[in-house]
Amino acid sequence: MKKPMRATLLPFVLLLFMYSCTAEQAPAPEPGIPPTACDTAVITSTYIMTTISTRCTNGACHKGTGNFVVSDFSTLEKLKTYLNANEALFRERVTSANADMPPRGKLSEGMRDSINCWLNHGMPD
Amino acid sequence: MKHIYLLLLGCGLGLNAFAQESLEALVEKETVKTHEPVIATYKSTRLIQGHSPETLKKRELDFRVAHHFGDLGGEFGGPKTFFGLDNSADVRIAFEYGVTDRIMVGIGRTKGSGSLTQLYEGLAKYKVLAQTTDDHMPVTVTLFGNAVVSGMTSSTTVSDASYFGKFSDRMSYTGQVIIARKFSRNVSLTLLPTLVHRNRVGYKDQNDIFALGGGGRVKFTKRLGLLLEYYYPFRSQESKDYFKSQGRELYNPLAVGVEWETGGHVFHLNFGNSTAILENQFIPETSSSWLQGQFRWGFNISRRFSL
Repeated sequence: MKKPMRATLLPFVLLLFMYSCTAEQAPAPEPGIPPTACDTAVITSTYIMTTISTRCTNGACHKGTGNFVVSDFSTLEKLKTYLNANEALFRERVTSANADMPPRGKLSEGMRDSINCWLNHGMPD
Repeated sequence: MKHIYLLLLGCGLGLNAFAQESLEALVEKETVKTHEPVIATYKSTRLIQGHSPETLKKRELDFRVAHHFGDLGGEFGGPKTFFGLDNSADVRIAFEYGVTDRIMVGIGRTKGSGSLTQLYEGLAKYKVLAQTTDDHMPVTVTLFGNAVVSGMTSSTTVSDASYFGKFSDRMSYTGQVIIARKFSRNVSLTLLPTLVHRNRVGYKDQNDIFALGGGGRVKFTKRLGLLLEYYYPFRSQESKDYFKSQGRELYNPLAVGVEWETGGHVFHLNFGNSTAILENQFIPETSSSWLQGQFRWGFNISRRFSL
């Protein structure tokens, strides 16, 4: 890189960094349900399917077609079939702290807790 | 005539002697002035997942693919996920380019594994000092910096780290000084003081996290070596306690790798507890533990082109 170009570029990049550098901390989250609440909570399949249909099957994904033949969540029965075989994978990718699904942003903490609780209860209707 | 021959011979000898003297002086001068740089402190621009002091050569383009799989053991590992291979924890695709023999720049896209995903990265690395064979300069010092922006959709919950009120909330940065020394043909060690800054973080998290990293390579045979990399992030006790109370304990990233040189290629077999690939995430946000089987296989593919 030529020296005059470097001399112009470096301060510009530094200024850009300084301008875009901020520091902010998110406010405290609203108190969630305590872990023991799962013992008494009633989480229904209908409640879970509402989220699945708005977050997992609303676009082109998880409808049982194309790449999603195995991970077909289009009906409750198909979701349960998938979960019976792949519960650990589903938990890791959807409800764990390192969840990467849905790809546009993981589910809210409350929803992830609810899904875990529903799974722990054996997916009751 | 005889006198003329003698005179010419004498002149010639004199010139010869002068030439020899000046050559010796030149050689002496050269050895005094030129401190040969130590080469191949490491084989790659990466140690395991973090940076090594090496930079690309001038006009060299490096196409890189990095991959971290899911947990090998523990709750999410074992045969049911084929020891983590069913799940990709993080993936990075990048182009890096040597502007000079000491300066390299790069752009990359990383899936992201942590509070933010869909990460676009710009990086720069500058080898300020190079270790010399005569120990005139005992260490190699390289500066590394990156800026990362997340392209993910903002969360609607304000308390989430992924809630973006403004564009700059999507940004994070890493600044690192890489100090390395090749002690012998078989032993190279590196110290990595690092600062990670994230513009917006979750509740009780820290915007700035300083970490001290260390790593190295020990070669057992000419072809087989062991790599190690560890970071200790200096996070406040209050912050650690809060995350623990939320059921998300944080751990220090530790990675171990085996390097096997086959002549044409260098194969790395890496294992580490961090799911994320970028420093911006694996230093402050590693929440998986070796002791609970939450370590994973990772690999880097690097293809270099001379332009």
